[in-house]
Amino acid sequence: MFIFFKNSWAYLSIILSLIVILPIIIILFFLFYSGNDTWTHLKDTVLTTYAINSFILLVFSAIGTLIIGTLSAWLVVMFIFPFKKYIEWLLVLPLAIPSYALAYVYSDLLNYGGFLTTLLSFIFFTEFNTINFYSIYGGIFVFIFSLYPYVYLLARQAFIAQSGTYIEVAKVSGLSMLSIFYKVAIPLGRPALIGGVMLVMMETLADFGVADYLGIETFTKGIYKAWFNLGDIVSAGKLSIILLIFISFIISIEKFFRGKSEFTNDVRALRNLKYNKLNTLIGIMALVICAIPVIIGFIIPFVTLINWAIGNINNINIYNFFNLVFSSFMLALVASIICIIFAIIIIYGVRTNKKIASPFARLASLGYSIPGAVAAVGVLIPLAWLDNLINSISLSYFETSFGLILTGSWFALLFAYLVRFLALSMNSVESSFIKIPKSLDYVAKVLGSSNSKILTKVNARIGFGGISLGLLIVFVDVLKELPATMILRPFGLNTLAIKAHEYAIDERLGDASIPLLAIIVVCLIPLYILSRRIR
Amino acid sequence: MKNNLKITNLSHKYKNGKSIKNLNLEIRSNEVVCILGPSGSGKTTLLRLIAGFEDPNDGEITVGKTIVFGSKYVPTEKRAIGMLFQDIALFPHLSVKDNIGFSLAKNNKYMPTIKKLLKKIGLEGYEDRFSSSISGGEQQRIALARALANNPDVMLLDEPFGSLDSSSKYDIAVDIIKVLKKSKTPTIMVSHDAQEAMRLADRIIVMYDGGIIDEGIPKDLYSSPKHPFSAKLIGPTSSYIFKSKNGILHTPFGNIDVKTSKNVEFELIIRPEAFTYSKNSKKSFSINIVKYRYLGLLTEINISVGKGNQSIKFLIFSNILDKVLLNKKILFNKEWAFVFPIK
Repeated sequence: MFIFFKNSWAYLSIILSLIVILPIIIILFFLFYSGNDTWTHLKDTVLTTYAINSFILLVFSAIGTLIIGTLSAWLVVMFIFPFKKYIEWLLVLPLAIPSYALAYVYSDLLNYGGFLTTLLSFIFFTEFNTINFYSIYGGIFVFIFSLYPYVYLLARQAFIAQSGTYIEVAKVSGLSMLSIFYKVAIPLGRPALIGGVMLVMMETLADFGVADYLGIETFTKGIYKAWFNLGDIVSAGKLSIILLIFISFIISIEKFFRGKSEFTNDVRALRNLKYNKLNTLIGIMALVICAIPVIIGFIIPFVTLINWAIGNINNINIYNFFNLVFSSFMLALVASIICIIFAIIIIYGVRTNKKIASPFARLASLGYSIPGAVAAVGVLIPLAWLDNLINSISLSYFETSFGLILTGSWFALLFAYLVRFLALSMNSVESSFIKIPKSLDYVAKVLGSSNSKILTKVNARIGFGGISLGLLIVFVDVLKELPATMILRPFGLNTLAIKAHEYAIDERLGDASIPLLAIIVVCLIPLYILSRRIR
Repeated sequence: MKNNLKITNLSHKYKNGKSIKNLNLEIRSNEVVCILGPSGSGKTTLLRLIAGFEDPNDGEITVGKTIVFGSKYVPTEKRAIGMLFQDIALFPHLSVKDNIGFSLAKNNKYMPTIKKLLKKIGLEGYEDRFSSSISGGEQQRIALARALANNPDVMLLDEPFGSLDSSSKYDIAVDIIKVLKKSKTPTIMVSHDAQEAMRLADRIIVMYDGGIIDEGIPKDLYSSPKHPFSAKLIGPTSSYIFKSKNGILHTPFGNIDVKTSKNVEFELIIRPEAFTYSKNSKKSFSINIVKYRYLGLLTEINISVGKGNQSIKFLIFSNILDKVLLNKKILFNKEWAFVFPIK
């Protein structure tokens, strides 16, 4: 019995992990479920299109972000060029802009008669009226320029961590900087580069807003349509399981490529990298190369949105807008608090007994690789069943129905957010807790503190920075989230992201700009913190 | 007067297959015991079992008058133990006074208790400092005050001086042990440093492969070790293997009785004290020095034996080196030679 109490935090951690894993397990049951007529129809007509489109988006977004992210990271880590200090953190800013906002902006700017089309026509003395942004090419463009910072951040970190000695050895061996880049830096940084590309692929697969707006038929869009347009949970579930298989395949590829290449620096060889000063011309070229993704991914869309917002400022109904901001912020705040509480308990449970709690925690953190639409379907099924059960009991005993108290309220939505975003808060909490020496826990224990007291008086206090950052990251991700919110939102609930998407679908881009700017401004806060760490 | 610590038939199996087997140990009040042993001998695990960070498979642990493991179970936080760690582990987010007062209730006795403890460790006026602004030695003393604030029945020291500068670590260690002695807290210290153990401990326990192989006061352990490993661990030695013939070991230094009629192999371990120089002693024997290496306090001498084809080396104190080199004679004292049968 005492062993149970001794490990009570670990068991609590397992229970919370299991709650989060449950929707994923439910989705897996669709593997064994034979399909209905709608599913047969979908399979015969659109399934191949979903697969091909999703695959093309994945491959080209991965290649594009890999090139831009790696090249810019190499330049800022290895060389000194004009404005490098600013470019280094400006390169992260596209993360503040939701991918779908980029799609709205560029579909307008590259439209017939759009600002960029006119500008390009003027520069090249020819009429640029053939750019069809509402296509898979538009999607690839959007994903590359909104998601490359994932690769940039990880590649930059990997290049910084590489010992200067390796570079010096390569230089002494007569290699040029270009050769060093692909013969030394790339192979050594491969695990981080693959990690960055993985994140890009996950985000691409999880996207709903871009695909919906640009009219690209992808799995996530298919899941949404199967549930909303066809009202068929079986087909939504079947599509979800295919998407999960797709994701498992990507994770396996990553594991395969990573293989045994867990590169570690030989401590004896560690030496800081030395920056190489570029001459003026090449320095300006490096600046231009690094500035292009910032201009396309952040400056142009941000300025355009501000311009649209100024033009439409009079259309705003202040009362409705503040209602929208309030409900979005409340939803994001509640979701982030729930996520951080789950994360703290799960990670602390692992800290008290790694052996029993760690495997479950690892499974719970898989949720981030699961698209919002899939998480929504996984949450919907057990909660709908519970709703029906509650109603049938209440009808038989009290002759009254409570209605959809779980699926018709914030509960289902918050549960889906928890499944989807828990990994983010867990990462943040874990990375701060891991820095706290275990001996502090032991000291507190021999001084008479219970595990709860150690958590509140020691770990949570010392790891407060990580906890706050985790809270903030989930907050902004919930603020941007579209598919799960669209599927699970209770009647009457609107968020900034949904409102912006609805306006954009109705071609009211000016009206969409104001909620989008509100999202972007909030997203800039964690990026500001991140940029301070970079600087 | 504090109560003692008693461990009876303690057994524990590690993940890697190693284990502590039927370990028995008793620490009297006001006694400082050092557990000495190489890495993986089980000494730190023993501390963790006493503290309750890990649970043994079998046995009984009694802290003070309370059985904390065995027929009863008391969790770590209620075991009345104090502990010092190698990495010191002061809470970085708390000031010195809040570190010391971590386990104290914040009532009107809070500050007087902290001031009293700071005085005890000689760091008055440090109340509002943070660990980042004080030296390693001061940090370890504050960690001691924090542990004493809890009024522990037993103090566990897990290589607490390992992270300190070698120049000052013995002074700090002696100060800390003095405070512990004054507070009459029975103390178990874990170390792999024999010098540290000899200087600080009242009694040394040598652990090897999960068991106690030797124990005693430092002087006894040095002069009459019960195990070849503890003989080598506790001080400088020269070691050889010889086979007995009719109960006698024939060595280049003289014959040694081994009290067995069987012809078996023995390990002969000799301390430098065994070799002295006496000009007039008839027991001195001649040696043919091939080479020697000066090591400071000791010198390693290499002599040829038999018909000169073989050589053997041993340690002598450097203060007799010149005389030995000049006269090529040495006196061998069997009292400092320890013989152990090879199993």
